[in-house]
Amino acid sequence: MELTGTQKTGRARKFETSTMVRSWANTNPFSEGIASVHLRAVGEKLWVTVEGAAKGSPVNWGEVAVEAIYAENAASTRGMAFVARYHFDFLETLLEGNINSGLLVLAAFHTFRDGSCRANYFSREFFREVQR
Amino acid sequence: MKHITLEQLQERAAGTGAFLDATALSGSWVNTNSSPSLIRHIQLEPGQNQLMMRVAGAEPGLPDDWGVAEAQPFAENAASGLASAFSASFDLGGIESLLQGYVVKGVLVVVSFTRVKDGRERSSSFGKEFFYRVP
Repeated sequence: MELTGTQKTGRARKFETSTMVRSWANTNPFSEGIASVHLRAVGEKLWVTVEGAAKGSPVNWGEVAVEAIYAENAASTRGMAFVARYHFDFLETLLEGNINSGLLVLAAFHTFRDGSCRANYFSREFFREVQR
Repeated sequence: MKHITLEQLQERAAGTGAFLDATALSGSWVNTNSSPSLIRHIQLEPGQNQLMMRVAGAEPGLPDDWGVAEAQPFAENAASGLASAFSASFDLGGIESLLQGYVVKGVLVVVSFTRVKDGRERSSSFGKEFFYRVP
């Protein structure tokens, strides 16, 4: 599966993204962050869906377009990382994911936009491939 | 679109504010690899509610001095007052590098998402490098 690496430019290299376009479940079943991630390709775009973990019940964050795809190095066209962003009313979450040894490693940077006293926080979780 | 439930987020004590102590991130950091691929050196200095970050680059075709950018500090959870990670973006003229960093056992781990915007013969790429603190 080949996709454009940078969706906001017209001259980006095409990336092969099959290692990412899968369904992923958190390796930690007791996570209070992200329970699962689903990546799918539509045309020349990747889309990501996140389910949060809320006291044992999944909470669907919805689906957003991946902002950019990244190769494993500057000479490669094998896409193995992505960046996506969720905008909630009170919170913005920047997701940065990469494939490593068959796992999806997902870093999430949460920035509060509601003026509360909560600290912006960071999480890093690991996901294994699952059949959907 | 549903969003994260508030129950997931721990409330801080009222009045403590969202200021984060960035002591664990601040300082001068040198790549553990003497022949680094992207970044040679990082300087992180506390600013007002953010860090000021200077990067010395190592990749041919990119600047030796990336200049200074604001790095946003992040805590391990919403109730913490200690910054243990950051996110920063550098515009290098045709290349944008989004950097995420976090400290583990005294080592600064920096993950880079380097994006080609000008169509040059280079893929947008992902990388991970390790840094130790120097006085």
